[in-house]
Amino acid sequence: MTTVAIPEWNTLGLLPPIDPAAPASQERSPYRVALSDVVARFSTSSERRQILRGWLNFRAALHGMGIIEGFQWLDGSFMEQVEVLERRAPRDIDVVSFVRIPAAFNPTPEQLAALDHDHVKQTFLVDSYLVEMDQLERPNLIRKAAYWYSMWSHRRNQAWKGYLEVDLEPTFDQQALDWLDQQEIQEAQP
Amino acid sequence: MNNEDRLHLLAEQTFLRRDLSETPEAARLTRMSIEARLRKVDAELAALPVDERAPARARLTFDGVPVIRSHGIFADFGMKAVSSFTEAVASVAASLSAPLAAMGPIPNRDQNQLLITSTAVGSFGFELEEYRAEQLALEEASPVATALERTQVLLQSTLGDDEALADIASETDPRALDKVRTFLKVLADNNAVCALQYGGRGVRFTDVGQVSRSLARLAADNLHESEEQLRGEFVGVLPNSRSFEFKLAGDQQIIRGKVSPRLQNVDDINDHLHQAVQIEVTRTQVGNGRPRYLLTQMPQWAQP
Repeated sequence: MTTVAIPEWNTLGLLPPIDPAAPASQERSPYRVALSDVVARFSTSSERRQILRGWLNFRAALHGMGIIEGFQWLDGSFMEQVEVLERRAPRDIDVVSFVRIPAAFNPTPEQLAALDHDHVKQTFLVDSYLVEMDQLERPNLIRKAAYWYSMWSHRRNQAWKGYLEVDLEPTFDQQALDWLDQQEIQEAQP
Repeated sequence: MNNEDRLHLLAEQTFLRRDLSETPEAARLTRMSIEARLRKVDAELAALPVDERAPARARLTFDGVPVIRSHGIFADFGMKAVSSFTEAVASVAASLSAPLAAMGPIPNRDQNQLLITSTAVGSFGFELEEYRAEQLALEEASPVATALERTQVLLQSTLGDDEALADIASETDPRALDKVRTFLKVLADNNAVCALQYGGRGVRFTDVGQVSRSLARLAADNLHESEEQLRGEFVGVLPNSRSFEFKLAGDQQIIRGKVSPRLQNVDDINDHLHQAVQIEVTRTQVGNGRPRYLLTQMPQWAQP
């Protein structure tokens, strides 16, 4: 998948809905970005690193169930300069996972419980929603995509904003986790 | 959280309910997600305070020479116009609790402030919202809310007849009235017009000539105010509408007037009907229209 650079926050403390650095580009929100870029860009505080780690562990849980195809939309205060906008650290990351369910997937009650919204939020700090692309008629799928775009492309004050998309495939997840570990070690050194 | 937020949540709730009904049972994970989202929206709606009053919000938009369609407004004019408007509202709000001194700072200025929360779409302007550090109970109208309403009625009345203007002008503190004049003068001097939307009602000046006429009608030489002492007796008082009838001692003429919003326990006057008394009123006359009277002090009756 071709990815793009994550645009800088604009003066509103938001990702811009189109990239002002490349206005003629076809890329626009949701920006398709690399997993490693997300981790590198947003690991600026211990709270953010904890949320990133939770998100990567959540991805690992999906991968462990065989759910490796699809993509995730990332949004919420984690994608905003919330430390400046609201003078607080982000509490979680908002994630909608558009997934392809493997043919052999027949979740046990335990697996379903592990994907429960409240459990995921508590365990992984991810405000998680899933959309099974193969289980839905296209009009229904398009309606859901439009719904999430409509909900996520504005703040409550109507300010238009952008958000990110990352592939669900697991190739670079361990590398990202290692990088986070490295950051924590460096941070702990006097 | 305001009413607009509530409407957005209700719209989302409706969508999610329909979406859930249209999502097949086979999409178990998707359905779990929709249900979780629905629970979240339900919880947010349930948590909305029902006994708190939303802050007063108004929309003030401008048009004319200093406004470039919906693209922008000259900053110099925009700042002056909004500043003079907020000054007028703060003055009206302050005058609700005590008469304003002719000079000096407006009392309680920091408690009667407006926030600019957004630019208004359409004609260029601003969304304004009263700033309150603490929520008010639902039944309490804040001074800013009352002041916004009065300012709107006052502006509307400058477009109407002398009777309507006299009614509202007689109940408005002279200094607050002067602040409204200043606002209109900023508009007139800059060849601008404005529209004010508040509480489901709106007032709009359609051309600069109209603004100038309104300003002239509010001018001190058209709007005669004087403090008077009248002798006579109260015939009756309506405490809710804060209006009274008073029979003058000399010619038995009955005058009607309003009671200043600053006065408390208006109903007490009804305990002293038909007793001789001297009252303090402000007499307001627009042009040659019928004068209006505003009772400015609670009368002192002779002890029985």
